[in-house]
Amino acid sequence: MPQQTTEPKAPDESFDADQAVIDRVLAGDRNAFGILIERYSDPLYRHAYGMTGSADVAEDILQVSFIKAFHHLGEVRGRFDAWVFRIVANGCKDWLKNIRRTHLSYEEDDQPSGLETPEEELDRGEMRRDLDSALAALPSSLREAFVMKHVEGRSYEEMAELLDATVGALKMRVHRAREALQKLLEDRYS
Amino acid sequence: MMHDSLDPRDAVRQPATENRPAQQAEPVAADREVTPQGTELPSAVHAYLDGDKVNEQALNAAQRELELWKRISQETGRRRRMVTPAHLPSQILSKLADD
Repeated sequence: MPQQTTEPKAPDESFDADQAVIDRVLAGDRNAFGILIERYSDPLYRHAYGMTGSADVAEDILQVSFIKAFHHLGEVRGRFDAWVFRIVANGCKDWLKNIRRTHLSYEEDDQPSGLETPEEELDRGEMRRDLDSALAALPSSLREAFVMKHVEGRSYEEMAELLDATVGALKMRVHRAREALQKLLEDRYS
Repeated sequence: MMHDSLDPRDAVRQPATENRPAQQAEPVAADREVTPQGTELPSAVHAYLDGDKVNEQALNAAQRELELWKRISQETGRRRRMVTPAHLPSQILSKLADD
């Protein structure tokens, strides 16, 4: 069960490929922006879902973030994927600040699980809700680190690059998140 | 476990560290965060979850914690397979076309 990491990337290759698409969009080919959406929306959606616990909110954050990215595309310096990740990550943090301020509860999603029996489905539903509640209790920086490590399956090195933090600091955040989750969930599941 | 405040105003309230000897300086603020009351999770479990080399004996001694993390990992594994709703890319592009 050790965490999987994302597939090895060739940063220079993806940078060049993204830059070519960005050049097309900036030259007036709006539809080419769809290539960037298709290329990066899945990991960004998982991040937004992991941070908010809501499929609908994740969709909204992705939509707003990509539209913002489109309008500021000329400002991209360096890797597009890291740049757009920061837009989405900030969108998630803004949403969390707002929802905590207004004391709204967040929605349950109804994503089909593909499990076989009603018992498994019930069990999975309980863990899903309990994990969402436990994640909601974490400070956003710990939740972000946990989601990137355990939901998105990123390596600590990749996280450090995206969050502009050290590997040691991120390991500390993930470890503290695990310990807090252990405390919140152990009575129910041990 | 030590708890620190994230409140930037606390930096004002706390005594400055510049006048202290270097070895007494506190960690940088970026690594100081408020965490809910945690519990000690055996380092073997952290190592296992990080994909690092694991001391099998220590891991066997942490079966209770490990069982919980296997269940959590099943759920996080399901979330890792989530994909963007199929309608979203075209919806974003049509919004852009409306601008």
